[in-house]
Amino acid sequence: MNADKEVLVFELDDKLYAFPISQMKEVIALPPCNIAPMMPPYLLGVINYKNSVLPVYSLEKIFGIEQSKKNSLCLIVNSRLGLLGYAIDAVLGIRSLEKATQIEERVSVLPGELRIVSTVQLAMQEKPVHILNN
Amino acid sequence: MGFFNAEMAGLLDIYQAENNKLMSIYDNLILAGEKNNSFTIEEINEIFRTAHSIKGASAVMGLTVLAELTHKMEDLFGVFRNDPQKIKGHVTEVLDLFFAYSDYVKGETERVSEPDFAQREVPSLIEELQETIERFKNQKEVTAATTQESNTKAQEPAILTNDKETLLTLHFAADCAMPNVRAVVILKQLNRNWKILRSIPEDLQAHDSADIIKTQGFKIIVGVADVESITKALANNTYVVKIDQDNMSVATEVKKKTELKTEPQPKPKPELVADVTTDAKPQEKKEERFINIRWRDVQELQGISGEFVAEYSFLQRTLNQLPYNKDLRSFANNYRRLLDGLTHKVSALAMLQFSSMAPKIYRTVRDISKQENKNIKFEIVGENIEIDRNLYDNISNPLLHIVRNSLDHGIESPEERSKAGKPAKGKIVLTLENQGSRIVFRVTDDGRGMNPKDLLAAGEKKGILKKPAAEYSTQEALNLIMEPGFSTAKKITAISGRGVGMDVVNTIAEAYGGKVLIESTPGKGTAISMFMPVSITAVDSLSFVIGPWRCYLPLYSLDKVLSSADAASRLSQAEDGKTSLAYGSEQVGVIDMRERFATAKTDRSFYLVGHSMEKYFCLVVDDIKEQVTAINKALPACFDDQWSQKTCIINGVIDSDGSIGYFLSAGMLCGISNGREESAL
Repeated sequence: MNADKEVLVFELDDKLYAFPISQMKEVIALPPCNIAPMMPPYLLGVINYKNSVLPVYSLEKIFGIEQSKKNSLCLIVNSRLGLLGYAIDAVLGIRSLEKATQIEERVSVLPGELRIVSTVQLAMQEKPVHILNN
Repeated sequence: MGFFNAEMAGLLDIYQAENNKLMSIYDNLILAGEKNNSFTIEEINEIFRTAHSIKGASAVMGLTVLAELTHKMEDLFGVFRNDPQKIKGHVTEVLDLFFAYSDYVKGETERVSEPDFAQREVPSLIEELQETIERFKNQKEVTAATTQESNTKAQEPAILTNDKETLLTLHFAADCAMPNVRAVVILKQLNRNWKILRSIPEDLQAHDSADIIKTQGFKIIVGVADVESITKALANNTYVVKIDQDNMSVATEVKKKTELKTEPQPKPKPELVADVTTDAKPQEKKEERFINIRWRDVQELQGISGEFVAEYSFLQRTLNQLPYNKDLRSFANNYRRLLDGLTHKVSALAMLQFSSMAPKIYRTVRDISKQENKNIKFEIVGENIEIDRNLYDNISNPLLHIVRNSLDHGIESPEERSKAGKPAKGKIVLTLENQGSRIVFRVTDDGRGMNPKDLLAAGEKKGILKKPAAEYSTQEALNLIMEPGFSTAKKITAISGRGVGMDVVNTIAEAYGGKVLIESTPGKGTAISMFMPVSITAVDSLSFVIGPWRCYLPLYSLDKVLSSADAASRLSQAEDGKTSLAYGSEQVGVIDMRERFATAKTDRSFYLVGHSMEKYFCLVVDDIKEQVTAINKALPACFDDQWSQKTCIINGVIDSDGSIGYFLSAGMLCGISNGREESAL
């Protein structure tokens, strides 16, 4: 199975999002976040990840929705800005994109250099999944 | 797919590391040769071996141009190896060639990792090398002919008796202007399809080449098989009116040329422009064995050992909560002992001798002295000092800039120097000194020095003075050269006028917890010192609290801590609402960090007075904690320069309990305290 064709799907505010598996480093339990002085608005904070300082992005803040109180996991993602984390509630699973149908190709650029690169439907009757890339 | 296949691409970093190491040996040897104007047989052997290794590795990588060039280099040193007398006294004639080779190898080595890498062709360099090989080869024949068998005809070199070659003489129309330019064009055209072995005159840019072509015709030597097709192709050329073909005369024509070339070199021995002293003694080989390690592996190792330390503190805390257990305690103690050994070794892995950077600096000095026509003696003292690799990576550009400044602005022209009663040869020394927790890099020159009055006048013109010029101390005036946008240079030269300025040097020093000191005496010279922490990651610091955050400042930049009660009598408020604190004879601008960090003020407050570049700053914090060794960690990229300017935070710090603190920059605080509010915000 091609790693580029697999995505890690998670739910946020009743919508589905996914990161390509090829970008993922690991999923960890979200450690206590330290708030930094005057930090960028899309950050939840910074954490000590393997003895280095890692920023944790809040998807809620990026999408401008109410911050979830159930954030319990942290997706560690390899991005163009280096390693960074996304706080999420729960992972729905790893899914293949091979049989997915593209609904929308429009790329939207969000704060923190996050992008929605496409929106797909993985199976009939399922909610659309927004594929993220960073 | 790029130039390299997947297998080769995987070897690239090893190839680069190996080449860089070899070229550093090579550069050192060449510089030693330049200094002595000759090479010892050991040096020649070492260069030969170096070239041989580069050739082998480059050929494996498929870098044919580099391999061919290096092969020629090997040939040349092979000539010297057979007769070391040949190079004696002739080093300066070939130095540029040696350095051009070095530049090419280093350039290609750096470029191979680029995604769209393609080999850079250097036909002229290869040709020049070939000529040089022949020149030195033939040198002996001349000596032999004159000393042993005078008047006996020297044996003709093999190339001349080759009956597979033909000489074509092209006669140009009498009214043809610039026949040498036409010749260049013709050569270029022919070279596309045929191999032109040689042309006479060979140097078509020489001032007499046009005359030679006009009177004797333009001669080219080609393979016999190509004669017909070449003649046909040239028949269409409007300038060529006649082509002579002559097999027999090849030998004589070329022989004449060879005789010309083998005449004793009349070049006077030019005095060395830059006299560099180097400690490189290749014959002193240590018996220790070494292996190469990838830098990122060392960094990962550092990270892992850091994690172990964090785990240990967790273990220690847990043990303290448990009932006393002798076995567990002794286990924890052993663990700690092993851990100390590990962290010590790992940090030692990250240390490098400064000397490996030396060739680059020597080389820069040599090139600039030559370019600027300055006569310089340059030396490095204490180059065996070991420095942190992180520091090593960041110090070379600032140091090179300071040295360039000395060369360009500091050292006067020989005429100026003799007028001032100084020796014609200027002197620049780079001294490294280990002062315990700090390493000092000092560049001293015996040049014209800097006059505070001139600096102030220039500063006034640029509008960067903060107060009336009369109120500036000498030190403050000298520090002006580190202000952004300051340059007293009357002309912007190709050397100091580019890229990093002294302000960048200062910023880099401060970013790593160091500082810059400028001393200068007009007419006598200048000394610029960079005081850098031995390990730029671990800094002895004071920790304090601002709102919910723990922050750090290096101890050496702090002068005094005042409680709010002690500070009260020293505080005064200006009309614009800005508070300042009387410290000694100075009024120091007060920065309330709670305001900067947009956090609520508490009842407690402490005033910290510190300095950077001879200027004071004062900040208000909530509480003072303790004195610790703070391990600096880079902050993620989303904390950009603007954020850094606003918060004065330059690094993160991971505390012993695993939480994250912030390392402040004395330099940035100083800027704000002294009214230099960041313009970008």
